[in-house]
Amino acid sequence: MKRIVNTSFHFFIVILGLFFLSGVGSLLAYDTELVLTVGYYFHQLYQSLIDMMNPASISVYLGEDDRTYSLPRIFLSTYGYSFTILISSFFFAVCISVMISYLIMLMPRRGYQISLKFLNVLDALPEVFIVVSFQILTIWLYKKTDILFFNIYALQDERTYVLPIVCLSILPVVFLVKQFLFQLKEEADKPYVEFSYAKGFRKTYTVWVHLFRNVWIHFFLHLKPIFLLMLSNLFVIEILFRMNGFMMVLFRASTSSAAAFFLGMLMIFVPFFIVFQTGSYVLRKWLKGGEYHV
Amino acid sequence: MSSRLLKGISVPVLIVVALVIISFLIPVWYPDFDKIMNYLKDDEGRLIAAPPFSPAEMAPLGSDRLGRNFFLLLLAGAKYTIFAALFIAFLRIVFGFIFAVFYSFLPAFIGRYLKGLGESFQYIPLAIIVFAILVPLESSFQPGFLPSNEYFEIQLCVIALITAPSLGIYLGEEMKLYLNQEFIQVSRTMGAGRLNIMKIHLLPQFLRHSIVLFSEQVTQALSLLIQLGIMLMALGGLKVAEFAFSALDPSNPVYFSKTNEWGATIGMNIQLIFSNPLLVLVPLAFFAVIILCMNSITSQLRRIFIENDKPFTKVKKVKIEREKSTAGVSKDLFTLKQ
Repeated sequence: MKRIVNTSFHFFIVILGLFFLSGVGSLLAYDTELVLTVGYYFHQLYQSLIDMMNPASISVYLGEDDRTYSLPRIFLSTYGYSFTILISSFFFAVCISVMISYLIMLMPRRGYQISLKFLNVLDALPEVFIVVSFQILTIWLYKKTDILFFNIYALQDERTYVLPIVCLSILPVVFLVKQFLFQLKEEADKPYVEFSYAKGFRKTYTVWVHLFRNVWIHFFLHLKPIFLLMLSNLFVIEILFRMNGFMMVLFRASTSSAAAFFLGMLMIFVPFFIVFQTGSYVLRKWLKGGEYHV
Repeated sequence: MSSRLLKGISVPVLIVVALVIISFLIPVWYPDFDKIMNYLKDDEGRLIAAPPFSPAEMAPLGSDRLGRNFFLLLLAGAKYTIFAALFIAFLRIVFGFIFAVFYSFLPAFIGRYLKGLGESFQYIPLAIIVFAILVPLESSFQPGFLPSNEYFEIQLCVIALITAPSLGIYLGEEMKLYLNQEFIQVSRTMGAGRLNIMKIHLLPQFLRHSIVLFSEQVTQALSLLIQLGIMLMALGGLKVAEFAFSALDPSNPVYFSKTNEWGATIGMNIQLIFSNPLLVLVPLAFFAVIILCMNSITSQLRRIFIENDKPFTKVKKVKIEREKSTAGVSKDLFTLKQ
């Protein structure tokens, strides 16, 4: 019972924080020197409270030519698109990273170390760099073969899926593979692994069945940072692909309408909160309050 | 500190320092490094090229749209980017520490409010928040009321301050764990005040961690600068000039940056990405090199300051705990977690 009260308390506090954050665009002004317009800020927050009474009246500008859309319509049409990309690239990243880390574990010692170094280099690449080089690669392939493999820009109402999903999943893959390898390495020295080898099981079998089973738990613990990383990368991708996605709407709203910005942030926060809370609840039941804190 | 670790850390540090030094020397060596060249002539005086020049026409990396030597421009901008990132990281640590000290000494119920408020920063890309805060200043920067260098300073402070709550809460939680340890409780019972505990126990511990934290923050600041760059919000501001011939022509804005900082360079050239991919890829590669250097510095520092350390560190503690728990678990070998 206490847990439910605490969780809902936390939920409302974060929403309050998001609300304060939504008016942040009217906090600073410059008039021969920097001015902190606190009064205007609170006035703006009050105004956005009034606006929120009637969400249909809020309008958001979007696209190159600043077309006006009403808030519920634009949220409905972009939300599904952006989250389709986010979630599918998440699952794509998980599958790919499991496969890659499995392969790296099977490599000989030298190959293992080389791939670790390679991962470190990949980790340093900024998301923008990855996206831009993918776009250039696609154009180059198009010039060579006359086949446009993927759409690199979302024009008008056309929507591109493949390339954004691939680009968005690269950094999570690197992050996840590093995590997996670190945990697998820790696990690999334990007695039950040796026992498995001693019984004559192959390395391919032991790593896949016994090691991965114990490493999955760490994956669930790192779910939150991965999603937060992907969220900010999704924004970068929406800018670079000129996608009119949800983060783009949020971005435009952040400078034009505090109420829309707040509602948009809620639409990100609430599903995430529900997923993480149920996830941590399930995990706790599963582990029966063991060694990990979620 | 073994010599191997020292060697590992010296190479990336040297690269960064060399870049900064070269960056300061560029205006001395080439006083007209950012001269605008409208065209190139060959020996006989014929026009051979119009900007942007290709790498073959202007060594080594060609030029941007205004005909300035791109390589020199990037080198000259390096000092702003690197110092900005270092300064942001430094400010973040200072603000974060102050915030964390307050947070860890506050009563628990206020702490919970603060934690929730701080967590709200996580659910939205930082670049959007920074952009939203700074956009009102853009309207006084464009007509020239707000000088570029002052804008630069304001931007640095905003970028640093915006992470103070989340960083502060993270540090504060670590501090709380640290303050709950036995030797702190012992010194409390022996009559040490808060100030004393802070001075004798907290500060030395924090300083060691903060060096590692610092280089992590530099990396984060750099990637934030890139994101702001593609949003056309660069350090020191971007002046926009409309190069379209008439109102009917497609808009053709050209951006000018006073600092030629790397993020600004990316933002200035992002429209040319398909015609001149080098103009975007090279600054990004420079960023990648610096981030790689900072990452390797971080991991080396972590090895020196945190993992090699005997008592109090969390890393060690967690490891020991895990070893203990697995010793218990590994009795039933194949049915873990059942």
